[in-house]
Amino acid sequence: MATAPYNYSYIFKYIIIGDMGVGKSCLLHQFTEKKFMADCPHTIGVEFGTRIIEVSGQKIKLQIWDTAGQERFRAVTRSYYRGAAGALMVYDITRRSTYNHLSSWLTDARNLTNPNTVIILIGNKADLEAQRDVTYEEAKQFAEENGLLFLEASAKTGENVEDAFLEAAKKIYQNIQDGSLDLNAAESGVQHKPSAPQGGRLTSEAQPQREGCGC
Amino acid sequence: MSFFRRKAKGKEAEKAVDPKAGRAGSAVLPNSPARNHHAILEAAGPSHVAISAISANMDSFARGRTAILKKQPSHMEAAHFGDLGCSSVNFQTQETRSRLSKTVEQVLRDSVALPYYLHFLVTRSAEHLARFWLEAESFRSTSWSRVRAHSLNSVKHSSLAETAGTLRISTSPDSPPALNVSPGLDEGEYEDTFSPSPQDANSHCGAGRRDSVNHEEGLRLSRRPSTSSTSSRTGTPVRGQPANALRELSDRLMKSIERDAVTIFTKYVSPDASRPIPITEQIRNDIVAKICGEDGQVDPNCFVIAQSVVFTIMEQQHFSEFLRSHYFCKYQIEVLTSGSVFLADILFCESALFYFSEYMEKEEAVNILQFWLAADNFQVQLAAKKGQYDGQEAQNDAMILYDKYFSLQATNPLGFGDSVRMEIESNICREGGPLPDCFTTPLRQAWTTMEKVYLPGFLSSDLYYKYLSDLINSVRADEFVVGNSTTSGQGAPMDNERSSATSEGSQAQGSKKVAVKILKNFDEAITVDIASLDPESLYQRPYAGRMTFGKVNELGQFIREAEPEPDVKKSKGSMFSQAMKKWVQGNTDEAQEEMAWKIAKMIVNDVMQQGQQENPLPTSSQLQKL
Repeated sequence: MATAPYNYSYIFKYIIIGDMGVGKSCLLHQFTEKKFMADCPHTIGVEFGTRIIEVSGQKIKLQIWDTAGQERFRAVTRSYYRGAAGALMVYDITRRSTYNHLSSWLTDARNLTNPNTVIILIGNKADLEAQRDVTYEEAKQFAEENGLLFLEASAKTGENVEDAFLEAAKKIYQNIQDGSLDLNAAESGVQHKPSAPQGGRLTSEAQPQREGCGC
Repeated sequence: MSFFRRKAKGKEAEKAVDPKAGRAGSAVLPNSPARNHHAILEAAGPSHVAISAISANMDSFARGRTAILKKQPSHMEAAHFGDLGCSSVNFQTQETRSRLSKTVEQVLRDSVALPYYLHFLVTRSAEHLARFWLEAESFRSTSWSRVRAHSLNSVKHSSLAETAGTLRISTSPDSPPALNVSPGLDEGEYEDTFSPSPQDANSHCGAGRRDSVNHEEGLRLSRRPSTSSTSSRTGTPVRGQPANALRELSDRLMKSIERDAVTIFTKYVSPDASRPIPITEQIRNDIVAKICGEDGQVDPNCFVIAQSVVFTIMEQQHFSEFLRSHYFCKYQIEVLTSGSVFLADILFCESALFYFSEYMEKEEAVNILQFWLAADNFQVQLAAKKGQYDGQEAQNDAMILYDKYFSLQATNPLGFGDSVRMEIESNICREGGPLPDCFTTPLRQAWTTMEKVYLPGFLSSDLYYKYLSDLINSVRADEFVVGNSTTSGQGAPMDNERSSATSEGSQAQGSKKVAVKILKNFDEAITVDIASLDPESLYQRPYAGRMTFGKVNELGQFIREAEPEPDVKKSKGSMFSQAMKKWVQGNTDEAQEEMAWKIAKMIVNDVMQQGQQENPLPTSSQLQKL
């Protein structure tokens, strides 16, 4: 068990973006700690958390960068977008304004991340059905029109939280396997870390992947 | 509780090891030694490191507080290491923190990054844009220098002639470059200088149009040079030898400005140029008017508008691709293998930060990094508002950080001393809200802790060399570069000279040198990568087992081994010697087998990724030496 934290084949970098108060930090906390923080102070700048998941038999470590949603922090948090393999774009289903601002967040994500970045749209607070302000179908259509994955989740109940992170990871891993994500090309801008298990030989048949990068 | 005890033991052992390493200690501060000790232990740093942090903090106070925190790291680095690597530090800091437009500007002014950018633009058939910008910028600065020199000479000449003229001319050096309304221009004198203008226009600008530019400074300057020209043509000595010498010098200065302007115009601006820059006819006409003005003088700012157009094109169409290109990776490799990598290079670069944060997590010190990131972001966004911010809102933000890291009930306590906490409390509760520098003291301490305690380990860690390998593989993936590298490697001798290809004459040579550097970096990185596997394996095996005794001993050894690493990096021979020593001393048969397996795996992957037979040669060479 002591070797568990270091026994993984890839590291994927995620960013979580979206308006303030939509639940970005609560989603991260629910995913990494498996519990809900009721009184969550707003994020100052940027924070990150990590967790190891398994996709297609591969252990993958997710390094998730949670950004502040306040407009005043937007300029400084933009610098952490580059080099992200996945982006979680979050809105609050009970506040239409957070949904209306998605176009702006998507523009930022497209401009500041790499073309191969997998973007998943998350409608948070799905447990507050009585206060719903954005329908599932409407958001689903927005996601399809923009080529995004889409899920509704609840950081409070934990519903679909793990699935949200897993879906993006599966998509990224699939891109690696398909070769559409050319990791040896500098243009990919996606970072992965193949690592040998400690004390043993490499048994994985997956090819070690290389990183293109941007600064 | 038992876990806590083990940690404490580890720290004590760490402290014991440091005197043996022979590190120079900082001056001991008389204030609150007990508190310092407490902060030291909880900050996971040896005592001398915390003292260094406090000393650095005092230095910071001595230098005075500044609202622009992001420049402090560069100053600190410069203070520590002199000029070595300072430019790359500045580049890293500014490049990642500044806006995109400033980023392009920083590249254009960075002699290390510029060759890579030019090389990238060559592949996109846009190199002439950068070259025009650079030459126009050089023209502008040198022209203003020559204009000032000319004005000074005019003053000297006038003092030899008549006192009345001195007053009028002496104001020239002080006049701003922007156009001014001319106060009471003497109509008679203007007419006197009118007649030479058509001749100047014809002789210098051929088919150029003679649109008149009402430029005050130009008009002022035009009187004396015109008189000087007339005098030269007639061949009549006017005031004696000194006057003639001064006039000749002034005339030469002004003529050289014209010649330079015409050269740049012919190369880049003219419709007949081989590589004209994409500007509108209106801008081109404006440039012509400023070069071939009726007053016969060239405006040093004649290319400014065209420069801004070209700059915008470079920024919007090419720069983001450059950041994702292997040329930028090559630049990063050069910086990261220069032997002088600083914490600023890591923290302000997202891809390096990706690996560093992973390393900090392994070292169980991620809270320090988290605090630095959050507090730095807070101070940067507050400073950006330049005093125009909501004090209550800023105070709320600051209280969130305080409650998390400084409060006696903090969720992520970092172990700052009481004095720091009280300073933070008074800074936050200041009337009118906290200032942008309210966390400067703990930020400085966190920075110094990361720099002294964790950066050396990171730079010799497996993660760092993995990062370098990824960069190198990104570069080697490009067939053109690999082919070029092979050719240069075989045909050209290696040298450490840095190319600064700012002129077309050295373009081909610059390309060769870049390729040579790639090959050199390739060799260095491969060597270092192989050598680094040894200490990393030593370090990780006992740590993974969580055996206190083994962990303590091996950790101490690892730290000692990490210390001479920078020296080893600079010398291949001694590096191999060090690697062999570690190899023999540190490994059992099983470990050797594992190591050989890893190396073989690496070599096989490298060979498979290279589609050409020439490339395995360096790797084979490495294998033979080992």
